[in-house]
Amino acid sequence: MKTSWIHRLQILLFMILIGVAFPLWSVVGGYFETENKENREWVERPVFRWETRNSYPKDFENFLNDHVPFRNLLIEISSLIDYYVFHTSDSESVVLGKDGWLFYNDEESDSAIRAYKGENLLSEEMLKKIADNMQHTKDHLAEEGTEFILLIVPNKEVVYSRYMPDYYGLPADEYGAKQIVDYLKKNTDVRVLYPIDELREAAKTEEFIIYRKTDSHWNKLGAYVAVRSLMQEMGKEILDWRREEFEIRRSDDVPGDLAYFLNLDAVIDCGEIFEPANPLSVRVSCEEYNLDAVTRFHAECTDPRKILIRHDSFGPAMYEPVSVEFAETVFINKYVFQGEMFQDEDADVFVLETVERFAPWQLSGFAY
Amino acid sequence: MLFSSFVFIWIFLPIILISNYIAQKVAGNKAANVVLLAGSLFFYAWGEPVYILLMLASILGNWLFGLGLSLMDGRENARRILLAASVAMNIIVLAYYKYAGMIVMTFNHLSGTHFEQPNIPMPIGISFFTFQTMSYVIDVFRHECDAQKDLLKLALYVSLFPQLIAGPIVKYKDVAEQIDHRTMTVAQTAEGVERFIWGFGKKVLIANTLALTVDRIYALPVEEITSSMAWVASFFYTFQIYYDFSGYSDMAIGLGKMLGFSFKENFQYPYLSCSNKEFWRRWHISLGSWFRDYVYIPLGGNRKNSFRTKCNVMTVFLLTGLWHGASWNYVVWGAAHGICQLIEKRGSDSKPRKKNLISWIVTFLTVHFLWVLFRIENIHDALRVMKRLLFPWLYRNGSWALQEFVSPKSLVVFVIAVVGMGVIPVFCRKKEQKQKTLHAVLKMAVGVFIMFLSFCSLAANTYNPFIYFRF
Repeated sequence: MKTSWIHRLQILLFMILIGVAFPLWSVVGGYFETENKENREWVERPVFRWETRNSYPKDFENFLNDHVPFRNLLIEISSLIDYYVFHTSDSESVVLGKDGWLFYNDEESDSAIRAYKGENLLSEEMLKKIADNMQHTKDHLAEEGTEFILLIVPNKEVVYSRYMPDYYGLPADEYGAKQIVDYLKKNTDVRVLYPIDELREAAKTEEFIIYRKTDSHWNKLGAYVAVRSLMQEMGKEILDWRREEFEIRRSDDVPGDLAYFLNLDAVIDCGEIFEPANPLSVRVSCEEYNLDAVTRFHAECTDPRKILIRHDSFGPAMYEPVSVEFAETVFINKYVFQGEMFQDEDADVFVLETVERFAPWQLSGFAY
Repeated sequence: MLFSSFVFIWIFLPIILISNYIAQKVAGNKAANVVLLAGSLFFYAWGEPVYILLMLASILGNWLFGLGLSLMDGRENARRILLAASVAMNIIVLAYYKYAGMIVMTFNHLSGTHFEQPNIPMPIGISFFTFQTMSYVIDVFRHECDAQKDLLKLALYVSLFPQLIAGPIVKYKDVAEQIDHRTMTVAQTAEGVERFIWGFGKKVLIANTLALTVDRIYALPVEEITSSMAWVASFFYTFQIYYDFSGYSDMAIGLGKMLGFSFKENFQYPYLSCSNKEFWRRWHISLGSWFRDYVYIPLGGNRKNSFRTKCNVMTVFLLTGLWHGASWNYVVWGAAHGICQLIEKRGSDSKPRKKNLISWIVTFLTVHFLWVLFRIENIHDALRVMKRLLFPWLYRNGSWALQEFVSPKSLVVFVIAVVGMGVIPVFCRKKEQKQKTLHAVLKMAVGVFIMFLSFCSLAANTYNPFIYFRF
């Protein structure tokens, strides 16, 4: 037959496509990137045992899905096609904004997008629970001579709304975090900070950015703006970022968590990262450093107080500007923070820091 | 084991194809049958390590019934009893594993009782292999084929992995000869490869992409679904289900060809239909054919009076709906199609139905509209969504923007899906004879591209990152 060579070629190509992956990987696999970028442990190879024979197929498939030959390459190609050809996010958790900005949309927890649209309004019952928890905390700490301040960090989406897709419209006027702040101010004497106005003002300029382009977090410059508000709340004044003598260092940013979500960390334009560049006004020594647990600073400064900050992933960017202001600064990650630490640390000031999208369940579940 | 999984495409499939080829070349059909049977049983056991025993028991039981019918030749009463027992056995098994929960729930609802609803896991493919075994026994009864004396050959027929879990429903008489005598040719194998690749692409690249939009919209509370969202979801689903189901059939038919088998077509561009009757001649053809041969015609078909014919039609479509799922929404969906058939029958059957743009639009929109009942299990919610389709001006406002569900990619895929539902093949058919070689090379290149993109898509689906570390 005239076309039989085509048929044979077709069969050959097909057999190569389905049969060559594993043998080829055994030879060239070492030249390909196999880094785990998913922030989870990959499934380990299951061992066949008679007792678990029924679950073995599923376990094996889960293992295989995490270890398929050329996996990272195939995923990256899929992500590249989605992003550059279709301008589509490969992940439901990432919203593609304008000018390469990425935003976070985790629908499993309090979604930043629902907050942006004002759809995360809280019930009276929830607000009261939060207020009671915060007031209780404040009162108990006051008995021990400790000041209490609640710091709610605004979501990136409401600060840089101009880069959000047009179909989301403008940020809602009423939303969960604002409800919490207003309710606390009206019904308690808890000191609550939600520096959205300050951050929005800083975000107006095109000279620098205060949240990272491909990450869900702020950068050190954004943290500085918020820390300035925090210090003002405590009657302290630090250098205004709007002043000429305030120096800013800029450098190329590394891929953020949202870039990893899209598996485009190797190719996406991450923009620049900005941080305060003024030399520290006092000597600061770090006695313990663990982003996921406890970080301690000691500063040779005039304020003899000790400040304790229970923080989430937005906390580390605050290390520098806070640590220069107090003789002792302790940052404790929320995942390891426990009630007895209040007594152990015996701080003069306690700051409870939480990002806006986690505020409702963090604060309603927080107990002194 | 899904066809669109790495364990199938990169491990199972190459092994079974090579093993089958070697067995066929070295020792002929008998050896190939053994290889295929072993592979098929392994394939099923991979997904159903426990219920493979049920399938084997079903095969054994129906084999014995087939033998019994053959031995009782000439004794019609005894044969009828055996047939009834066989059908009853198959239906009882199907009813228990698939419909027990629905039966108890319905009984509770009607009688006000509160019997505990059994939570019986449904074996994969039970609807398919039960219908296949029933068709075998019935065909033996009707003398349309001889009883298979070799248990292994019958087991191969029932469990053959290409069509085991998602069809097409293959009748024994259509493959009996092929089990014993089949040859694998280069041309047929290449045809199978091409068919499989197209099916793979239809499932992975089109159906799965459209499903993302459909699932997200239908996951919302109905009150949050606006009319535009409802129209998008319903249209996307119309094509999702076609590409998913026909994609699987393509893969099954393609795999069959690669193994030397020739299965009948299961889909013939159903969305080009100009009547509901035509739609069911083009959609899931093997199921329609099964119900025609084993339910409609035995009930009398259209040979009795008009009322009986209508009853027969409704019976078939109620059962068709029920076959698809153990939930009343499927029954209502089937019934709705039955009513469409009856409405069409009001005109004379002898007059061929006019095919024109209007009839095509009406048929397409009707089928599309009824898919909502198929997709949404809660009938009340389904009706509320259908209201949004029929009265769009009442449900315009909502808090969701359509772009939150319809990405540029899903839109492009949807356009491809619409074009591929029959437009291209209809227009390209006439050009097939020219430039065969170039055409073949281009198709091959496209096929490789489709496979590669599908692998990328499958890999992307395994990517499951968390923003905070999870163990």
